[in-house]
Amino acid sequence: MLRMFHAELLKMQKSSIWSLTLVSPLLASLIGLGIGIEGPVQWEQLMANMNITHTVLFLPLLAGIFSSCTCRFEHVDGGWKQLLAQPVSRGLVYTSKFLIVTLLLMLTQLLFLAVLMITGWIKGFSGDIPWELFLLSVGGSMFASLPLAALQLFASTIWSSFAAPMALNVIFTLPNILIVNSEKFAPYYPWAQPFLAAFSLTDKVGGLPIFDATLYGVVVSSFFLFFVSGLAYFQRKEV
Amino acid sequence: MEKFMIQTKGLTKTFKKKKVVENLDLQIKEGEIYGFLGPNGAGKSTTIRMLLGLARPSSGTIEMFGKNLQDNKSFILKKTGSLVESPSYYGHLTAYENLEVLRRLLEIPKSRIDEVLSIVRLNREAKRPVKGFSLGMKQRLGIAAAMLGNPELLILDEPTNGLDPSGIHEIRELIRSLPKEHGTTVLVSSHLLSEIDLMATQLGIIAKGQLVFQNSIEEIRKKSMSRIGFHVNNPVEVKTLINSSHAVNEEGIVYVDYLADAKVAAMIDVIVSHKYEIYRVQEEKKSLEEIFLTITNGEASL
Repeated sequence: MLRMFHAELLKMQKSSIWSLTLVSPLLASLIGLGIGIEGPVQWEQLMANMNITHTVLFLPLLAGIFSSCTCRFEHVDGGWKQLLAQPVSRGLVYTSKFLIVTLLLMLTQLLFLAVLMITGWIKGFSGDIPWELFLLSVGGSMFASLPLAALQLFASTIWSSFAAPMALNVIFTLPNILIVNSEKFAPYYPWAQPFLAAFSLTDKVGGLPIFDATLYGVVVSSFFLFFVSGLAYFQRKEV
Repeated sequence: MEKFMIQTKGLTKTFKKKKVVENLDLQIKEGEIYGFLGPNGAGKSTTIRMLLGLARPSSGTIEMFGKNLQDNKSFILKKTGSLVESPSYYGHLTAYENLEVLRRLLEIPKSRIDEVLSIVRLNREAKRPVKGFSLGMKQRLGIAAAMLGNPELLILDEPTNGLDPSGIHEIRELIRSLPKEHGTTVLVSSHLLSEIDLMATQLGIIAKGQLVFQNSIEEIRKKSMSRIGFHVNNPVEVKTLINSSHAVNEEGIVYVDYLADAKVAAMIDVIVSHKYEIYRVQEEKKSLEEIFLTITNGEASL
């Protein structure tokens, strides 16, 4: 497993994909800086404002872009046939690719957190930083973007074109703005899950955050569904 | 019992109801250079893909290193180096990094990268991104990648594609030296007979998905026996006169299989005694190329 991941890492290191992790946090910080915030819960308000474009639009798009990128090298110049003719199991190849996507999403979220701090610091916020909320929100939307990442990795292994899975992702991300408002459908819509996870923890009961059972139930089960289907497809794929 | 490096039985691959590879019984012995010859689209690459586990056979079995491929994939692929069709590479990485990716999978010492790079004479270009390479350089990198893991079996699909004459010569010499120096078994495919003729010790010819010839290259040379042609004034009647099942009338010349001098003289005598005119009697030797064409057209002359 380690050697496979190690090899995948080298392919990604030299690619410009890492710079994409910065885009959304920086845009969010511009929004955060531009917006006027008053009242006692400054940090919470700042995070909510910065999180909207980030989780509604960019996080779902990035999950797709990262997935497509990990497969793109293989599609373009016959990488699959060389890689799969090596003594490595296909399951490991697929899992390593997914881990790379997860790593990139984690990095995006960490940068978002860092940018959030810096923005608040520039604005001169004085109150305590609500760490628990921050970590649960940032971590939650990261976790909730994994089903989408698994679905997109599945699509990226099927289509050898870079554009097809991307187009699919964009088409389903755009209606997000409407769908996140629907209490009924949003938890079942993979593109809306990162947003819901980021905002579902703002209510507290007796000092403990409440997890949205429906949302996380759907996230966990759809993740397994998408990942296992993708893996099963990849095991049988002919290159 | 002889030991086969690769042995397939009834190997068949069907794409959309069309049999691309049909009932292939390959037998490749250890230490051989097996030339896998066939016109473009005959099923060479599909066969090679199945040997590497990249495509699944529709039916039939594959045994490599005496083990079933399906159940021992890792074991077999660890001892096998391959280059399938066009070379595979990661354009944004340098030649060295491309090999490093594979080295990490194979768990072999780093020094091996420099070794294979110098074998294909790419060591001076090692630090350049591969996207700027010429096709020939990419091909050489592909061969380096195939040799990286010190394989006991090397499967090369059209390895000299895109190389210039001096590159072709180098790769050919390299392939020829492998069984002697490292005991490697090589399966090399090509659509050019002249190329296989210069490298291979064994020959397998595939046409329309079927193996139409499999034997040593010496065996096919014997097929290139000569035949005797008679230029006569009435080839149609002379052909009936000769009355041999092997006599053919091609463009006004009657051909029979090779005959000893006395038999030729006797035949001339018969023709002349029936008042036909003989203008010329000639001996013709078939080239390997012609034999290849005959075999791949599916004619029954073999």
